[in-house]
Parts: sequence; structure tokens; C-alpha cells
Amino acid sequence: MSTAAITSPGEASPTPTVSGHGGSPILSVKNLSVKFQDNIAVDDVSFDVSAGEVLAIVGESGSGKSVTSLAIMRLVELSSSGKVTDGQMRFSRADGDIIDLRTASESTMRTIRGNDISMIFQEPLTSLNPVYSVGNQLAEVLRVHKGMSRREAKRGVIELMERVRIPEPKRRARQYPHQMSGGMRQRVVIAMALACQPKVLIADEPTTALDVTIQAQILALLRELKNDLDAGIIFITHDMGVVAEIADRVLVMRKSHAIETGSVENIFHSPQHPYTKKLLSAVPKLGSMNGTDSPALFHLDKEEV
Amino acid sequence: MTRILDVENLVKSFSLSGGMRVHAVEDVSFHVNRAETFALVGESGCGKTTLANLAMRLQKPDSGTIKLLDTDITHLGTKELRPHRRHLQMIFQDPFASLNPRKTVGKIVGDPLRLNRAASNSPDDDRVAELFELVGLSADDMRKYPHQFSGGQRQRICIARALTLNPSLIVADEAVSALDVSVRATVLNLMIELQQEFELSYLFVSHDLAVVERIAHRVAVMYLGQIVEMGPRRQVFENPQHSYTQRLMDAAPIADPGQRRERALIAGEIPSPVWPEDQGPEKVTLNDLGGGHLVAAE
Repeated sequence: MSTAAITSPGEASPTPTVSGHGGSPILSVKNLSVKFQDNIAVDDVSFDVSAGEVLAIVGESGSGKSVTSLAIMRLVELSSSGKVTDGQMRFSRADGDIIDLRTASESTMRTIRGNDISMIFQEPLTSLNPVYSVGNQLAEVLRVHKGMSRREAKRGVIELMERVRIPEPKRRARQYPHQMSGGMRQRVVIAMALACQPKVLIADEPTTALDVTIQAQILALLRELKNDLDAGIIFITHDMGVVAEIADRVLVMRKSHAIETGSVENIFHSPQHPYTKKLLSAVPKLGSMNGTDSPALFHLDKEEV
Repeated sequence: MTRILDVENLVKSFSLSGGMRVHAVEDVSFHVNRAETFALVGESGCGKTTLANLAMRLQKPDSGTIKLLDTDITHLGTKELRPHRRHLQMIFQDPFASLNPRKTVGKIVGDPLRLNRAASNSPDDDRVAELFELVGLSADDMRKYPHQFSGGQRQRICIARALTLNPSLIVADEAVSALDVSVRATVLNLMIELQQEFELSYLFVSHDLAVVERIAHRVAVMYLGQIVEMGPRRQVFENPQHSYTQRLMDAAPIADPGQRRERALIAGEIPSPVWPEDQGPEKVTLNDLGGGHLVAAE
């Protein structure tokens, strides 16, 4: 087992936290550890997220990237065996209060989930209720979280749907989730997550189940919304192509440890840790075969996993 | 060049309730040469998997012909097809679902030998051990069960099983899509090496352009059941001519932040391949741009 040292070019602090591009972070996670019974899922992971930036957490299956995001929402405890065992997760609320999500009461967490920190998942169908129209579900969010009247919510729904570029929002609002394509459903889920203007949006593999042309549209949409809302986005993915498209900064995880963190340019162009190098050597880069006719082997960086 | 698989004018549609019909494969022709990787790319619902299944004769086409090594197998019955099946093997997407959990992996890889007794007179175990080493596993692994292996190792076992009878063509339907990045690269390397060693042909079905660029000699782009562009990988990728190919290439992420592109925020969706019974899509005509590069007229 290798050590969990974080290598970050030009930054060799003993307590390795890489902060965002200027400004104070909205969310600052320090030394986070999560256990499921005796299994360590996240071990001493630290990172910051600032307004208007996308932090991509990348890793292969079982690296702990999704558990990290569930820990922020304090959702690991929903499974009886999960527990945040160490660390701090300091979150700055809109009113200026700074609270540690790790120790916050469940009632405080309930006011944060959905309002201050929203989450979208890989499969939009599981996040939507099959027996209500999507308009109905969006309106419910506006009424519960924003205290809107029925009439206000109805108007708000159309605005939200226009914002995530759903064509013919009036007709679409009457549709049920099964009547929509995967890309449209993911737009609905994003609209729902945005209804409360969250400060942090956690997106866990949001485009993995989508076709490439639809994925490109959703990534463009997220990028635009990030700028509009000035929110921080934590983007969890295994796909280095998607990371290159959307991330400002990257945190590479492996086997529950943070391996390396840095700007997206630094991670791709001058990776420091052997694991990051190995991972990148295994990623096919579209266009890299220009000028050749035959298939080519991957020249894999040797590093024992 | 020897043609291993030659498919002409294949049509397959499925009828739905309410007098509607899915036109999954519409008048598709292509061939796969010896020692060549021919990739079918396209988005979900474009018909690429149906086309692969037709080529394998796992489904019967409505019309058209499938020739395997110069034999017309389109209308062969189950029994007549059996001697030809050994030339045609398949690797699937999910290596967890495609291995019987109650058999040892040695038995799984050896089964094709037992089922095709005539194929080999050498003792099964030696051949199986040889296959395990060929795909980078140890002969000692033969006694283990599938659950004792990782996803990448299981896909190697699936490849070993596909190789057992020295096939000419392997159909790989999203065979590396479920694997982690680093594992995927090692499995692709293995496939490329095996191709060079045994002059194998692959019909490689994938949605991932970056992977296809790496492994394919020739590529066909499918859209709504039809091939809209086909040709040598280099021509199709460097000089895409059909608007759908261009859209696909433009949307594919490039693993280099230096090449990040601004994209228009259109919310376009692919039209449906479902038509009323008495209607259907317009037939496309492919124009030859030279060098085997074919593009549908728009």
C-alpha cells in the first residue's frame, strides 16, 4: 500500500490542501475519512471548492470518489454501517454562517440539502417520480424550498425549463419522466437542482449514461449555469475526456486516497504522481492517431496498482 | 484481401403495438477483411447492436444476405449453422453476466472444445492452459470460479473462450465499455496483439470514438439504422464528410484541456426510427469518394 502523499507541483505544504482560484472557498474539506464498518472508503482527503469553479474528482471504480460526495451531504450515515470518522467540512452559507457539515445537526442538514448544496446523479430516472408530471415535480421544489404559491410556481417551472434549454417547456411540463429521453430527463433534474440557487452543486457521473452528442450539450449547460449562479461544482467522473472538457481543477483519487491535485492543465500536461501518469497513459486521446492507418498499442506507464 | 464476413442489403425491423414499426437496420452492406478491425459506431438506438447480432445470426434478417468465408449462412438452420459457428465468436459488454458463476473458468474456456469434438484431438486441458497464458492469466487460475476475478480478468477469460476454436471473426459488442480506464487499455492492447498473432478479424461495436480511433482499421458510422459514412479510419476521422459524423466528432470529448471547445447550446435529439407500418425512412445512396470512403448523399 502506497502512502497517501499528495503531490502538487509548486506547492509542498505539509498539510496538503489546494485551494481554488483566489477568493475564499465555499466548501473546505480537511482530512475527511469515511468508514463502512471496518472498511476505509475515504482516507484523509482534503480539498476546497470556490464559487464559479468546477472541481473534478476522478478515479476508477472503488476509489472513493462517490463516497466523498455522499459524505459532504452526510448521506453515508443513511446506510447503518457508514460513518464519517474524521475531518472537517466547513461550508459557508449564503447568510455568512460557517458550519461544519460533519457535526451539523440532522435538522440543519435538512435545510442545507437541496437548498445550499444540490446533487445530481448518473441515472435521472431514479431521481424522478414516475407518477407525477415533470412540471408538477419542479413546482413542488419551488413551493417547498422557495415558498412560492401554486400560480408563482407554475410560472417558475417554465422559466426553469427554459433555463436548462428544454424546448417547448409548456408541453414538456405536462409530460411524465418515461415520456422523455435521457438527455431531457437529466435537464429536468438539473433544473430541479438549480431551483434553489445552490452554492455548491455535486454532479456524480451526470453524463455517463448519455450519448456523446447529448453529453456535450449537458456539459455546455453545466458550464453556463456555473457562471450564471456563481456556484461551485464538484464533478465526479471516471472519464478523463469529460474532465478535460469541464474541470478547472482536478483531484485524482485511488483506493480511498487523494493521489494528486492541481489545475486541469497541470494534471494533464505535467502529472507528478506515478498513478496519475499511468491513468493518463491509458486514456485514448481523440485525434492522436492522425496521420496513421493502423491500430496502435497503448504505451502504458508501468506502475503497480 | 480475403473477405471474412460479407453482408449485403440487410434489413431488420420489429413491429410494435399500434401499427408501428422500428426500422432497426435499413439496407446495410459492409464487409470485414482478414486481420482487420471493422468498427461500427453510433449512438444508442442506431442499430449497431442489432446489426452485429444479425451478422452473428443470433437474429434472422428480414432480407439481405450474410456470407461467412464465402458460405451464405443467411438461411441455414441451427444444425447446418453449427459447423460455421466456430469461425464466429463473440465478446460481450458485461463480463459479470457472460460467465456462468457455477462453472470453473477452466471449464468455461474448455466448453467450446467439448461441444466441437471434431475440432481438436489434443487433450483439452493443455489447450485451455495455453489459452489462459495467451490472454495473460496463469494456468493455475483454471480451477477458480468467475467471482474470484476482477472485471478486466473476466474479460480476458471471455476472450480466451472466444479464441478456443481458432475463430476467424470475433464480434465485440461494447466489449471494453464497462471496464476501468487502465484495465480497458490493457484489454485493448491484448486484442491488438492477438489480432497480429493470429490474423484475427474484429467486428468492433462501440459508442466511444476515442477507443475506435485506437483499434479500428475501417469504420462505419450508423445513424437511424443506416450506414451514413464508411471507410478507412484515417479518412473518416480526419476528414468526416457526413453532417452526422461531423456532429459526432465535434461532440466527443478530447482528453486534453488545451483542446477544449466552446459549443453551441442546442438541445437537438436524434429522430425516432419508429414509423407507421406503411411508411419508412428514405433509402440513402452512398457515394464513393475514393479509397473506399463512402458517404451518404444528404
